[in-house]
Formats: sequence, structure tokens, C-alpha cells
Amino acid sequence: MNKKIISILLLMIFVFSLSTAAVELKDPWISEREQGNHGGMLISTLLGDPKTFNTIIAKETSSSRIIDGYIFEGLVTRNGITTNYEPELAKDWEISEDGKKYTFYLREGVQWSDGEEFTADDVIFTFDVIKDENIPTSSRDVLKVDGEFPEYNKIDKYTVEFILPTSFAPFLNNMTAPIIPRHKLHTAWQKGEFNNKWGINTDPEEIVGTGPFKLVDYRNGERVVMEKNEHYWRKDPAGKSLPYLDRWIRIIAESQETESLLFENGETHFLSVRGIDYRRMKQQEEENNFTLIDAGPTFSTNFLVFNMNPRNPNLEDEPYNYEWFTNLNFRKAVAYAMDKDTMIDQALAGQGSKQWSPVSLPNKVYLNKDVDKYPYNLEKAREELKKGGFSWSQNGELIDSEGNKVEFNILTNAGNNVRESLLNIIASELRELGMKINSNPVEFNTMVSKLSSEWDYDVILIGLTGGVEPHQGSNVWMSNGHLHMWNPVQEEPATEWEERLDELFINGASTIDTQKRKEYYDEFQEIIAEKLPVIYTVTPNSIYAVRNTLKNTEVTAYGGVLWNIHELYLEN
Amino acid sequence: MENIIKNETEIKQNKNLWIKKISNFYKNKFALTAAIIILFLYILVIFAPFFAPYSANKNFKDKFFHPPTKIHFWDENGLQTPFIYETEVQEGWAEYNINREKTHSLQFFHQGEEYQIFGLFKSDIHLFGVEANIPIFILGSDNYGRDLFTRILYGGRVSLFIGFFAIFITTFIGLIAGGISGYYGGIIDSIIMRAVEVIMSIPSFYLLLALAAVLPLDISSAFRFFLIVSILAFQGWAGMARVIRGMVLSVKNEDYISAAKAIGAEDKRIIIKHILPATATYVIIRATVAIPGYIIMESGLSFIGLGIQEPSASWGNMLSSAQNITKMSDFPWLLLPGFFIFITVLSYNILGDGLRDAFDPKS
Repeated sequence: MNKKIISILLLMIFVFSLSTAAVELKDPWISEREQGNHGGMLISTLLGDPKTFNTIIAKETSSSRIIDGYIFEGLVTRNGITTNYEPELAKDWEISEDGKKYTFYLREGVQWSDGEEFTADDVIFTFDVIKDENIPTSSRDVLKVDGEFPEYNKIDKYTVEFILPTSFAPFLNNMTAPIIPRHKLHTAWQKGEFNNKWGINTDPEEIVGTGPFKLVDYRNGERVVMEKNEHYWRKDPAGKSLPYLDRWIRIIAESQETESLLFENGETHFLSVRGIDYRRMKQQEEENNFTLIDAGPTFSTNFLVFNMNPRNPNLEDEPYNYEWFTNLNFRKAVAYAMDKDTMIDQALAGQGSKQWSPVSLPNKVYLNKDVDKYPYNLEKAREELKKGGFSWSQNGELIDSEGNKVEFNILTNAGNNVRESLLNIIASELRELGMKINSNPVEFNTMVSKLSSEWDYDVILIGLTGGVEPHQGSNVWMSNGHLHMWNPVQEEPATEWEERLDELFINGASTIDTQKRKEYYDEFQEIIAEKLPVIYTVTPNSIYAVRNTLKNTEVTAYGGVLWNIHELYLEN
Repeated sequence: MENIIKNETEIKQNKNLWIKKISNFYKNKFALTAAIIILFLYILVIFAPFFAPYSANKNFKDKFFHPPTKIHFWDENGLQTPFIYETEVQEGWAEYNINREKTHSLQFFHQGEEYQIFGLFKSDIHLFGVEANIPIFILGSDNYGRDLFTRILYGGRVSLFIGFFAIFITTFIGLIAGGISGYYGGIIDSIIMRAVEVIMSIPSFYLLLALAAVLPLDISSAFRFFLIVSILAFQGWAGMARVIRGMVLSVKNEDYISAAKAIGAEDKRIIIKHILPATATYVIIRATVAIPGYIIMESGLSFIGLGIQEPSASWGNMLSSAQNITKMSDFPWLLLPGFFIFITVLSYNILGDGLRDAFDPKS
């Protein structure tokens, strides 16, 4: 009898010690910001519903911005302020001398939000899924180096290594890809049902991540509700598990107008403010207890792209279009006609910055500020046109050297007020130069198909969102890229400078040293500014209104308000 | 001989009837006021280049969101010819200082930009303007620094005439289709009426959305305007044709039609001369009631970005560019095109009511 009890007790102690061993977090991350109060509910807004909670197959930002970083995390991340790499699920990593081997040492004792331990198996599983050709994910092509998916191995429970075919500096950037739980998804993947897993109708309990929050409720068109992940590996200075916030409600708003009304009514804690609303919001700051923070220019860009594609189907009827657009003097004239001060005043309500280089303005590492600039000057524009063989008829219409009147369409996507205003300002300046411009806002998908597959446009005003890693733009700037908009998917570079761009991007990717990489990307920016295949306009500033009760915030253009959501707390 | 005399008295009676109807209308002061307002608006927009101080796309780049310019009549020396003060751009965004040091008198029949009306006569005389090219925005300026008053006048051309053209096309097709259908009956009637039913069952707004979305990209705004009118009219004639057919059915068995047939008049003559005039009252009333509907539809289309596109103006697209809380609260004059739509639609509705009261054969 006694023996039995003792043995049961011993068994219990054994089991207990086993389970505590499993949950012991060996490498916590400790917050360096001031200690906050635990508890409270953060409320913010979202534009648009998620399409899926399956982060691997999520294509739209409306899905990924809900889950990535909040429910799912990567091996490494970028610091929201410095944009440098920082450990996340990997506590450390090593890169071999030749730049081909990356070894990641995982944080020991990290738990998924359902209590299971996170290990190297999860990492291997994630990359197995990404590598699987049956899974529709954009991450696969991004990860490929020289067309080859890197080799990846589990060394032990807490170590994984990646072996690349060649040295590839942007690889670390790809390691920000979110890691998914093997224990939840492996069976589904084996059965070939991975693509149907974790849709928007999934029971929130099923969706498990390592991030600071877990999903508890989602109502289509109404809200997404998240709760604190009790097992999170980041700790406050007192050693208690983060995040401070207990609950996070994100109201799905129909429009930016609704978002700003909700904020003004005091229902949400922060708001991304458009330039046009800046002045009105400024007047309410004290009364409504919030602060407006100008985090400087955003990563977004707005630029004109000229169709220089000899495969443009319209060229049969209008072969002269191609001659104009490939004429560098013509493009320079257009660049001189960009009245960026007026654009900032009228389209961005004074809250914007001029952009000259293809690298986004807030990119502290790679932005080359010393590229050719074309300050607004219609006289210079006219000179360039004259140099390019253009002249003016008696009525002031611009005609080319063969006597054709210069007339073309500029398209942009309808519904984007800023871009429509930019288009209007640009068109009115070009009309001053004697060009006949048909400016048309069209539906977004129409514009994209013209740009990427039909190639039958003249000029398009569009924007791309840049990032910190310049190689992310390789399919835009390399001549065989699908997004090499002015002349996509070339078999051979059409011009010498495009050939040089290809070289620069290849060199930039294979060099590990940041200083050396910067030299390559500096030259790339100089070439684009000199040859002007695209002409940059202005970039809005990112302005946030943050309720004064929300503490520990440090708002940046890169990370917004939420990059350190685990450290944010609400004052009582 | 007798016939002729009879005919003449009939004509006289007819004339008397119309005079009676018109005098009835004149007695209705309310409707008369509405008619005058409408007439005034049409004159304003037809001669927009003369009444407006600038051309439609003239922009004063640094004077965007400029509040309406105050016109002063008094200074320290007493009554003066109307004058304004120039404004200067201030440091802040869209803030303007009034420079009270110098006055600038308002000039009537001011020499400004050259323009043409109907491509017929050229002139450079504008109703008013200010010396030395100092901008005057009597209703404020928009976000590109264009004079709102000018754009309301030019935009009114689109908004006011879109209904006019549409109703013209609608009436024309509706009368012919309804007339033929009612007069001949039988298989022709069946075919036309089935076609009418098909057209009436198309959800109009979605048809417009679809058609507006497939319009080619490089067409001019004027052509786009014409296309929208045609689309609107194509939708509208069916209901008209149906009512006309009903009226024709009831009229065609009247004695005077039989008489005309007996004399041997052609079908065409009978339809045009004897049957359709019986529907005139209905057509006039329907037209005045339908025009505001078209005006609102155009503003709706422009409001959602499918109608008239920038830089051309219409009241609808001007209103849609004011779709923002800040713009409404800080620059309320941007909503003025809505006021013009309101006045026009209200006047048309009152006018339509007045006409119905006056023309109603039963009264």
C-alpha cells in the first residue's frame, strides 16, 4: 500500500519535473523600456477584411498585417527604429566566411500559444511547406538563390543551418518569414490539405503562433479580437511575461473617413493621419488627449513610368510614341516639369517630401542623396525638348521631328485621391509644354494588367512600397524582371545602362559587406536618376495620432506605432 | 368650303386652349419663379465664358483652398466702387493673409483671357475681373487653386444639359416606338413591347456602372459626356414608350382618327399630326419631371468617379472632390456645387408640378 503511494508520488514528481523542464524559457528577452501596467484593452482600426489566417499562403496585406508579427514570428526581425536585424525566434546566428552557410541558434523553451514547445522541427517544417510546389506561396521564389532553393538541416533540437549555392547577402532578410507550428499543421500538409487550413472560418483556438497575441474572435466586416499569449517569451523588466495588454480589438472600418471619425470620438487609441486631415487634427490635440507624431517620409513611392517596350501592341498604330519615350531628352523634359512643391502642397496637404532616387527616403542605409535632381523649371524642360528634336507649332502644340503632334495618355488607379491629384498636376504642367495629355484614373486591376501583361499603355503613374533591403527591388530593376515596368522580361538587356543595372544587382546580392553593397546600390540609384526610366514625384509623410494614455510608444515610418506592441501599455 | 371654315375654327379653339393653359401657368407664381431661376441658370452656363472671370482650368497654384474673396463697398472715405484686397500666402498650409494696404477695384467688362462661345464669336470681355491679374474667387477656390465660381458655371454646362439631351433622345425614341406600337398593334406591338420590357428589367444603375467602366481610355471629356447621355437615354425611353402606347391605343379609336383614315391620310401623317399631339401634355410634364433625375444620376456617376473626369468639371465630380471631413469642415465652400444641384432639381420639380396643374385637361 505504502509502496504504491510512494511510487505514485514519485511518478507525479517525475512528470511534474518533466513538464516544468519543457516550459522553462532559457533565453528570455527583457524589455529595456519603463515598466508598465499589465492589463487593458487596445482598440485600433483596420481597412478591409483578412482573406486567410494561413500566413504562408496569405497574399494580401489585408491578411498578413493582421497576423504577421502579432501571431506569427520569424527567426529574425528588423528593429523598428534602426531597421537593423535583431534576434527573434533565433537568439543568435552565424554566417560562414564564404557567405554560404547560415547557422541559427533557436531560443530554448519558447512555447506556442497552446503550450507546445517551439523547436527546430517547426523551422524545418515551415521551410518544407514553403518549398512544396503545391503550396501557392510567394515566399518560395523569394528564398531561391540562383534559382535554387537553399538546403536546410536540423543540427539539433535548437539549431538549424541553411546552405546556399552562392553567397547571398539578402538571405537574412528572408529569414523574417513567419514560422508555423508543426504539431498543428503537419498532418494536414501530409494529406495535401494545407491550402485549406486556417481560413477565416477556422476556430480561433486552432490558430497557434509564437507571437505576443493569439486570435480569439473574428467577425467578418466587424472586428478581429486578439488576446495576450500567456506563454510569450518576451518579459518586462520585472520578469513578468509580456505583452502588457490583455486584449486587442481591431475594428474593421470601411474607409479612412470612418477610421478618423472613430478616433476622434475617442473609440480607438491611434490613427494613421492623412496630410489633408493634419491641420484639423492638430487643433484637437489637447481637447482629445492625443499627440500627432510626424515620423518622416514613408517607404511608399509615386512615379511615372514610360512604356519603352518595343512589344507594345499599340506601336503599329502609333510608332512615334516609342520614339518619344525612348528619347532621353524627352524624359528629362518631363522630369523638369514635375512641380514637386505644388504636389506636396496640393496633393499631400503640405505633409510630404520630394523623392529623386529609387530607394525609399527613410532607408537610412542605402539611400543615395547625391543623385541627379531635376528641380521644377519649364524653361529647362523646353530646352531639353529642343535638344531632343521637338518643336512647337504656331498654336503652341508640341511636335516631334517628324511633325507628329505629341499626345499620350497617362493612367493611374481610380480611388486613390493622392495619385489622382498628382496626375492632375502633372498633366496640367505637361500641357503647359504643349503636349496633349489625356489623364485617366482607371480601375486598379485594369492598370496592373496593362502594366504587367498587355503592355499597351503610354505612361502610368503608379507607386511601389520600398523596403530596407534594396535587393527586394530586383524584379523591378533587373532587365529580365516581371516588374521591369518600362520594358519587362527582356531576354537581353536592351541598353547598356540596363546591362549595368543587372550587374550591379548581381554583385550587390553576392556581397556580404554592407559598405561594399552600398557602393553598388549607390551607382544603381545614380543610373536611374540619370536615365529616368521612371520619374519619381513625392512621398507622403507618415503621421500618426496616438492617444496620450498609450505609453512606451516610439513611432517610426518603418514600424508605425505597433512595431513594439509587446511593450505598449495603457495608463490607468 | 365648309370644311375649311370648320378647320379654322378648330385651329382657333386649339390656340385658345394653349393660351389658356399658358395663362394658367402664369398665375402660378411659385412655378413661374422656378421657371425664371432655371432660365437664369441656363443663361449663366451657356454664357459661362463671359460670366466667369477665368477659363475653366486656370489655376492659381499657390492659392489653393482660398476662401471666398470679400468684395468691399466701403472704406474710410465712404462709399466706393466695389474693390477687394489682395491676399498673400502665409507660412501655414492653405492660410492666407489679407493685405489691407492697397485696394484693387473690381472692373466690370474686364479684359481677360480670350474665349469663344459656340465657336461663333470670339471675345475677351468678362463680366468682371480685377486689375493686374489679382485673383478673385467670389466662391472660393478648390485644391488646385481654381476658381470655384468659374468651375460651377462650366460644370453646370454638363450637369444642366445632360438631362436636356437625355430627355430629348428619350422622348424622340419613346414617341416613335410608342406611337408605332400603339397604332399598328398586333405583332409589331408585341415585339416592341417585349423589347421595352427587357430594357425596363435591366437594373439601370449597374448597367451604367458597367458601361462607364468599359468606356475607352483616350476619349475626350466631351465625347465621354455624349456617351453617358446616350447610355442614360437608352435606359430611359422604355417607360416613356409604354405610356405613349397606352395613350395612342385610347386615341386611335376616336372619331377624328377614323375620319382621317376615311379621307385616306397616310399612317405617318395620322400618327404625327393627329395622334402624337394628344400626348403633348404628358410629354412636357414628364420631361420636366425627369430632367432632375438625370442631373442627379450624372452627379451620382461623377461622384463615384465614373462620370465626367478631371480636369473637366461637372457639379457631381466637384462635389465628389469635397468628400472628406477636413474639406467639409475647413473649406465648406467646396460644397457649393451641391447647393446648385439642389436649387436646380428643386426648381425643376416645382416647374413640373406647375406645368401639370396648368396643363391638366381635367381642370
